[in-house]
Amino acid sequence: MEDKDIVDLYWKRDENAIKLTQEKYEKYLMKIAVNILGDYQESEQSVNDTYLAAWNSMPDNRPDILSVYLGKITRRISISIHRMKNRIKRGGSEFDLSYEELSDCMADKNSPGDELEAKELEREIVSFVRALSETECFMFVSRYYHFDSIKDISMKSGKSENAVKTILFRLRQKLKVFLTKKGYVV
Amino acid sequence: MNRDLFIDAIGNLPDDIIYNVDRFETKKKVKNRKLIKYGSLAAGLLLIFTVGIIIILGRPKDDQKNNSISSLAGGYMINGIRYQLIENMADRVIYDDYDKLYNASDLIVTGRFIDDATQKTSIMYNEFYDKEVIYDGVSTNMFEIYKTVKGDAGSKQISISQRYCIDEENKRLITFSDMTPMVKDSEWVYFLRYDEKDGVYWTVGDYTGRYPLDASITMEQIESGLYTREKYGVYDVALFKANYKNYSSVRDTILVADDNMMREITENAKNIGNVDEAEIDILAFVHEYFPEYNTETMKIDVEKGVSGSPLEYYQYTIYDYIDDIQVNRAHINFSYDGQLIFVQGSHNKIDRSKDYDKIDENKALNIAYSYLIEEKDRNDDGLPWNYIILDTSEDMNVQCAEKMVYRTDEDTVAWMVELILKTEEGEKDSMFNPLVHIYIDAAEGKVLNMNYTDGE
Repeated sequence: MEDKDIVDLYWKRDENAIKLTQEKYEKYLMKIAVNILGDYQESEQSVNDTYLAAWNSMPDNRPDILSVYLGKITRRISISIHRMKNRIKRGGSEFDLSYEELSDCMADKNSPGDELEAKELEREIVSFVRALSETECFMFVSRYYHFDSIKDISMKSGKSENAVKTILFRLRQKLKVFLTKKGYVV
Repeated sequence: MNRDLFIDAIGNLPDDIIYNVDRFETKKKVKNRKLIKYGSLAAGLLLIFTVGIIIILGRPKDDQKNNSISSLAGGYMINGIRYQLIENMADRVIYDDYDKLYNASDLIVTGRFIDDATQKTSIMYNEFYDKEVIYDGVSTNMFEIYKTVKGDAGSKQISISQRYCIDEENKRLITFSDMTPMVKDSEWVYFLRYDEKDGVYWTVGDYTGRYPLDASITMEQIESGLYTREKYGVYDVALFKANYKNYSSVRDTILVADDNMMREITENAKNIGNVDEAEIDILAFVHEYFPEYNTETMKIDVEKGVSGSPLEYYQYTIYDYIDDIQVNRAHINFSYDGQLIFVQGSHNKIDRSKDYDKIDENKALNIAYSYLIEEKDRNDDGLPWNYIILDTSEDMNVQCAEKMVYRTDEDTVAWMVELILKTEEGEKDSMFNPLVHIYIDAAEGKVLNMNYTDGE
């Protein structure tokens, strides 16, 4: 079934919408959740919460690209679960590895204007990502949005794992220079 | 900045970016088109011209209507004259990836056309139509270079050719390219390949290898119809729209980032207020390091005369001219953070290096090779030595070997050997091959310095 038809079912409050979403996107959403949480059961819970969030957010929203819409919800819920869980302990998932990598281009300094900064930062990150080449964009988003493993990125891009690591390292340096020039303390 | 803040910010990337990334593998398969070598492209064009143009341009003696003409509605205006636009497209290499376009180019420049184009047409007799028909047309124009982004043209002006011609008799503009004609004073960014046979440059990737010298074009402007197709340089604006991703790369890497970043670096480096002062300052660098140069006759354009270097610093190149003949050259190199890295220069009149002739070019290359072999065995720095193929000296793809003044405390004359090393990864994608500069004392044969790109 086309995404548009599934969205229509959500708008009609037809519960088949969830069933069809599950059939079409569960694998995609589970991958996002597992990358972040590193735990199958918790990931299942996150994906189930995604269906519920999608049900509650439509109508009101009519997503153009259903997969991305659902993926963003899963990502947000999973990160939230992960942060809660890891106030006690951190480690083990691709999210943690990606998170650690980012320490070479940004520190953990909080500033009083964080909330205001967040919106501005979003715009800067978009402009940074839009300026990347197709391959760079793929690798950057795969690693820091989807939290895909280096191995997965290597397989999908056809480049060696070392090459992927090198490109990601250069991108982090590039991001650091970019954000510094924009006035961020990184 | 907080990493959590970044993780949240990237979580709000626009849907189209995520969607394209999710489809990356699929798109790659579709994009794997057959590339045609230049020679076979020319042969293909000739065949298509011969068959296609005979059909297109020939007019049977029995007044048969020529209904097979592929013409765009509205024709095309040149210097106020309206021409019927005849398009005949052959299969061409089209680059929808900026990096591939960059790598495929011998020369990347910005500049303007300084003349009206001249043209050569090829005509043959066709028995079916019982008349002579045009089967090929090439126009050529002189292009004045503002800035060189890649390569070295060796001159401020170059000839650029494009496959189109004007049939004045029938008021037809016959084109074998999607690019609009080369009009005097129009300004462009060009990705070019050199044609040794005719001594001219051709655009790489047809319309994907030429962009307006204007960093301000937005997708909204294109969609609103603000500009005409002449502005974008293509007969069909939809092509420019489809190629917007490449334009964005050109804009950010050549038109905006390069100039702006260089200006900022220069200003930050010397803590000076504006680029005019920066220009004076850069010439002062040259004077300080190369007092023998005539800074009065040196040419530098801070805004347009800069080039980003693949070795991850920014470099000004300053030329010393006598009657339009380039005699001396200096490079001033700044790191991205604005620190002066080194100053080097070369002399076409190498008076100061006459005592340094003990090492010739061949010896310099041998020294470079031996040094790299030692480095490969040592394997203790950033080059991807595991992947480097260095079995023979032929594995060093030498770009140039140039004698220059290398500024050390002893004021050395050195060979600068620029080469690209082969790697296993580079066999799939040449971007992985690191570019290396090795500086060798021209008297002692000692390696003074080496710098390189990591390879991606």
